[in-house]
Amino acid sequence: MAAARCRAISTSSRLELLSLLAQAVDIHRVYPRAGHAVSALDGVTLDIECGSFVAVVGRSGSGKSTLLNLLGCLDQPTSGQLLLQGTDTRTLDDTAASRLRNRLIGFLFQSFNLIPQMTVLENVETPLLYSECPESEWRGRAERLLERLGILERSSHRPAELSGGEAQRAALARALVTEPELLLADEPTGNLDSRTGEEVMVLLEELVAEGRTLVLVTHDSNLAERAHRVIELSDGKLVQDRKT
Amino acid sequence: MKPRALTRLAWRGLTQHRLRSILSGLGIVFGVGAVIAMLSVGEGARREILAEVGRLGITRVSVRAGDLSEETEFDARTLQSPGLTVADARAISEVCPTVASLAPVRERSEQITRANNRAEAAIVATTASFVRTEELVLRQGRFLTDTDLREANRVIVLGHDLAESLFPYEDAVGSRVRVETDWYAVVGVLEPRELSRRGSRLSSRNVNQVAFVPLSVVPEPTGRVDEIAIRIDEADAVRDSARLIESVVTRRHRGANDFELVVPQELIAGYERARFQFNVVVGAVAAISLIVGGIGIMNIMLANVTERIREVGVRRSLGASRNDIVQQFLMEALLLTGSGGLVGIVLGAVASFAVSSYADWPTALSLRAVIAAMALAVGTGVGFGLYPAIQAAHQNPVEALRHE
Ligand SMILES: Nc1ncnc2c1ncn2[C@@H]1O[C@H](COP(=O)(O)OP(=O)(O)O)[C@@H](O)[C@H]1O
Ligand SMILES: [Mg+2]
Repeated sequence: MAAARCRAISTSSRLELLSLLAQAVDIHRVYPRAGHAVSALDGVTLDIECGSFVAVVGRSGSGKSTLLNLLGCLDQPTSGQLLLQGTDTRTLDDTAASRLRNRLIGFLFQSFNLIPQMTVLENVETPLLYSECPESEWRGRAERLLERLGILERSSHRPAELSGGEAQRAALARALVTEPELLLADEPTGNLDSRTGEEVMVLLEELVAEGRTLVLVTHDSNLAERAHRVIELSDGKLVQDRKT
Repeated sequence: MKPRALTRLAWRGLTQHRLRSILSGLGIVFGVGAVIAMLSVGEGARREILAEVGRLGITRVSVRAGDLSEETEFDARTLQSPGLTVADARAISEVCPTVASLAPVRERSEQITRANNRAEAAIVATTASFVRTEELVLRQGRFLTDTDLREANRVIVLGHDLAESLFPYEDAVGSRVRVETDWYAVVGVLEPRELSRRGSRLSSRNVNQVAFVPLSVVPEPTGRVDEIAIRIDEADAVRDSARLIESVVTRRHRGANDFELVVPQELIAGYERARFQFNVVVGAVAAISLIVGGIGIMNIMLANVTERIREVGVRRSLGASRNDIVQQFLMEALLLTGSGGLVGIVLGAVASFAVSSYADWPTALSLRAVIAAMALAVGTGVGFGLYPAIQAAHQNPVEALRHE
């Protein structure tokens, strides 16, 4: 369905611009620090196409998470330009940026980041609180996703009662509940054993096959090879960008 | 954002640490409770005094012979004041056109006997016009007449309760009673009159327990009386009439300060002044307790925010704006102070009920007090909840997500 949406968009007059989901032009992210400033990203230029699966690799501290946070509008570049669906993120105020994040982006974290005092179902419903979706549809939407991800019977449990694989699936359901086009996953299998990690990867690949865009940060070169495209960062610079 | 979902979310946030939330809300509970209890006591007193004045009538004025202190007695003697007399009454009715009716009163406490029943009662010696001045209603027979006064008839009119106790089984009118050593014919009995529960300066005598006799049967060569009861013809004229009466009597007493003018209407004004002071005290108590309560709320909200910084980061990543985060934490503070306010109102109502039943003070809970207390509680929630909420909203989302 997302693929259909992307295709529909690419037949429009703003064809070139809109087939690109994200466009970064010479972005820098500098953290001011006592003594010297740390350049977490140092002039990165890259395009992310609709429906693509991009793996981001690099040593620890190379700026992968920083890039992901910028793409997700959680952080602002120090300089450079970042367009999301053709919109310059610098022109967005907090409310507009938040709405864009809610509608367009789903985050997946290494440590799941489920809200501990809420049930799985409530966690999955949470993004809808910040969307236009009427309250009467929340439960249905959340349960459909939980069912699809095979953890519906866990919906009344607290996150602490879940295994790692279940928790990451709950987090995935939460990321998908607003039907975002772009999934940003920061080492989503990092806390999982290889079998459950593989299960999560299979789910992510299914989503890509349906036409969603996935940016996956990973340490694991085997996982990276499964992407359409691999980007390597080193010291905040883009040192490699290849198709697989 | 959606108010229902927001309330549920806030409730969830508060019940996460139930005891902690309850303890932090106690400041508001007791603050609001104290304010409600004090306002109820104040309102009860107000209603009582208004009812009392209403019973007496706001057009009623009295001149009373003063309880003389040594100083004023010396004054009165050196100034050769004649004291409060029947002549004063006559002068007042001549000079003051707004006086509708007026009656001089002499009052003694004496023993009334009838067969085996006896009672200690106030014997009020007065004139026929007292029935109009005091707005008495006869149950049976008649009141004193001008003929009674002129001929010094030994007739007596009994207050309702007094008649009941002297004549438990038969009609009083037509019988005779003995006051100390003299016999009087009973010519009338009054209707019972509802009285306030507590004596005050206003309700000087309990007319249900009084017997009335003609002023002329208790001769007093000096013409002195204890009181001149006056009824003014309209409420608006009371203030000016009182001034006029005061000046007339003062002149006749050659400036001696040996009488007292009682004006219920002015007592209300005096009472309103006292009430203002009372309200200032209530306001101070309210302010102090709500500031203390508010600090408790702020303290707990700051703890909540610190504890849930990571949750804030997660919500931001899911699309919550700063505004949404402010709303969430503000709603928690509001829910806390709002429910604290409700419990406080109940507590205050219970306390004022206890006060009125044990201490026998009248209390009344007004809707205005409830609304004011609730507004204070909610205002405290906003006032002290806003800073923590804004602090939560201004966390950097990336750092909040990394927060442990
Ligand atoms: N909030 C911050 N303050 C200062 N330096 C930071 C901050 N966040 C990240 N950095 C620095 O930026 C660099 C890139 O960090 P990050 O993007 O998290 O790397 P990666 O995810 O590739 O391990 C690191 O050197 C890190 O120390
Ligand atoms: Mg990282």
